[in-house]
Amino acid sequence: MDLTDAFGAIKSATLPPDWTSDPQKTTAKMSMKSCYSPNHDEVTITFFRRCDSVTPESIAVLHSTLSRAPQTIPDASKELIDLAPALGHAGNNQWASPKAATFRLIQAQTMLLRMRTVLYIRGAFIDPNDRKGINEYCAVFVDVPNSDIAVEEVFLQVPSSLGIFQFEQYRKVYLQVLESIEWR
Amino acid sequence: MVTEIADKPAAHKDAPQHAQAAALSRQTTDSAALNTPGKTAHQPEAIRPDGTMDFSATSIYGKNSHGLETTVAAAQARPAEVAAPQAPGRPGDVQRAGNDALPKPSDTLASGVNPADVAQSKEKLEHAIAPDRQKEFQEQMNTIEHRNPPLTADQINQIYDKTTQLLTNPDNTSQLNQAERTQLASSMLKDIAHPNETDQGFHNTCNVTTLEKRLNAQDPVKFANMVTEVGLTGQYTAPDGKAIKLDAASLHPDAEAGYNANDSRTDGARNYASQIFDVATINEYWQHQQPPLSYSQVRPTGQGDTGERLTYPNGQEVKGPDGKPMRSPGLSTEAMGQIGKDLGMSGQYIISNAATDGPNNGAGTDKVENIDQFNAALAASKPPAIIMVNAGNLLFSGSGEQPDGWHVVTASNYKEGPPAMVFMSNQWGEKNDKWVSVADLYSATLPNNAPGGGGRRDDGGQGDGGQGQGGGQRGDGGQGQGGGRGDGGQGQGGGQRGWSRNDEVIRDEPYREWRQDLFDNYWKHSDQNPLNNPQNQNKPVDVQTQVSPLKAMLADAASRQDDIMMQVLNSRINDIMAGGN
Repeated sequence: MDLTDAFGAIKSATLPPDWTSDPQKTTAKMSMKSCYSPNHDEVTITFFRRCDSVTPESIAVLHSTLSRAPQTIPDASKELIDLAPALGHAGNNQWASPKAATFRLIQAQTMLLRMRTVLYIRGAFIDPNDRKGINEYCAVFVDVPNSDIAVEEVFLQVPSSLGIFQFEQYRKVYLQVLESIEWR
Repeated sequence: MVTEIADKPAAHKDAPQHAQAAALSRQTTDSAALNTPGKTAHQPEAIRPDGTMDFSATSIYGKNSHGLETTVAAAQARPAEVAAPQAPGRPGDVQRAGNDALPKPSDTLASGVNPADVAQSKEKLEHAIAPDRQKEFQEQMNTIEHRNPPLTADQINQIYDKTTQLLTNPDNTSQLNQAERTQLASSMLKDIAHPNETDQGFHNTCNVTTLEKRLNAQDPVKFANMVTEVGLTGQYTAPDGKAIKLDAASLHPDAEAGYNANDSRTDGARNYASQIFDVATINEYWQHQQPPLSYSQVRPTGQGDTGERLTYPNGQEVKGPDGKPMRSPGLSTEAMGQIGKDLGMSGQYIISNAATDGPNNGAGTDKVENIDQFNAALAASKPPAIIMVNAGNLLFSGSGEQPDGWHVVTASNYKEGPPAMVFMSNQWGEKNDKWVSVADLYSATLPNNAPGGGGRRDDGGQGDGGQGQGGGQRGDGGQGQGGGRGDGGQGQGGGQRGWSRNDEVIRDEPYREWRQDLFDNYWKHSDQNPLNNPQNQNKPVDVQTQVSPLKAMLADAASRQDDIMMQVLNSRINDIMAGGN
């Protein structure tokens, strides 16, 4: 798989002007561009394309999920478990890895984002020992046409230590970014 | 107020204006970032003065919708000798170099050892393997006995004996369970059987993975000894006798290392033996340094997190030159050379371009200045050589429009031309291991915007002429750890200065500056510093008291020929002698 042969789903997006970014990092297994809040540089909105650890089976489930009308994906459902490898580290959740989950999945649903169906995931990365949150996380996963090994997502990640109020403030910014997306 | 990130391919056609706009925007945003206490200066690559951001050239997901057109346009803007070869096809395609019949080196097997010479150790090993893993182990053993470069019966016997020990845990000392030890043993044999196929997975460990490949090609018994020792004891004994302790979390397989051998996801992923080797060698290097650092592989705590951590003795995370947690091994080519030296490697086998990596040569390194020297270095080094390359180069990125990022690959099976060819093994999966022309590989040792860098040079069957010369300044001065030094990657075609998050290998000058910062930062707050001793805080400390522990460290660094550490310590000693603090 050569990432540069595949076109990303996003043509343009809008970020707050005072946010800054790292240069895009690209290897054969992933492509990532992280943007940072001016006030908390551990808060990121990241554009992430990944082929690492993804299975064709999970991509097929993602294709199927995104092809249906927007709906909530039930907790503990087979669909949610089968999606896990496509979700990256967020797939290591309480439904797919009950004994060693490092992600607490709170919400999984498909929704329309500017005329396109995406999978919205909300949850938190946790310490598996004390179950305390490390990073609050939400993301939209996007279908990659003609690929059975690549997943694209745009995610927000906020340290749990900043508190849920800060997360919600940043989630508003994140939703504005999502609303600004123009698809290719 | 929001900043639009827009895809406007037309803007890219005017490169000078584009660069100017990016520079103006960089000034604005960097100033804003630096005015915020504790903030770091990110480089808002390709953000225009009007706040828009150009995705056309460095699309976050690869080429833009005008991919080929943009590539050609960019190529036309390059010097003629670089721009010429924009024909259909992909960089590194053997067809384009006229060598489509060349097999991969691993495709050819040696005649093998006499089975009777390894029968005893093999039988013991076979008894130690669980029935459901017999087939997988037998395949690896068969390859080991017939691999190229071939191994002697004595080497194979030692490898099998170590593998048996790992599986049986004879002294009951291992912190790993049976399943983990089986996984470790299987992957260890796999890496020995197929040295060229070892991959780094989703980790910033190209640096030590190339060393592992070289070690397994030349001295796999040492690899087996190291992996087995760590698997059974949880630590590694360095050549100087120092016990390198590894944290418990790093000893257990991460998600990638847990894949079964027949899992389709193993291609490109890092296996368990490679994880153990990485953690052991990186710690062997850092635990010999001042400050002594620890490198760990922990459970990822976020999406996009590789799980890598570099920490001070007090557990605090070490920050990179941009003030954010390093979360990578933090090695330069010289540091790699140090590790190689401790692994018993000799010669000059880490080849980088002096225009990129600076002129200083340390253990194992060879800084070349032109393609003739590059050819000579490849031909002279005992394969596989390790080459420092720009991952943003056309050879790797497919577009030549990606930001610079420094990476290493291995090169072996040098064939004289024209065109001279070499087998390049990347750590990104099988499809990235291929025959390439030496000229293309040389081009990849340069920044994209350097003359001769960025794109494919045309061999045209005419040999490897040309003198691609890189250049440009590196490093932009510093403000110390956490202070936002370093200008990061330069975005489009830049990257000749400083350090960026794209660098899996740090160039020489920013590495030395960063190391100096680490030392100063640690030393000023360390309990080992006499100035921090409460008994000394209210009375002057004489120069000799301050300098003597540093001189002891200097002697230790000199004994290990650690040029970087010696420079750091000499600088500090000179400061104190001159009346500084």
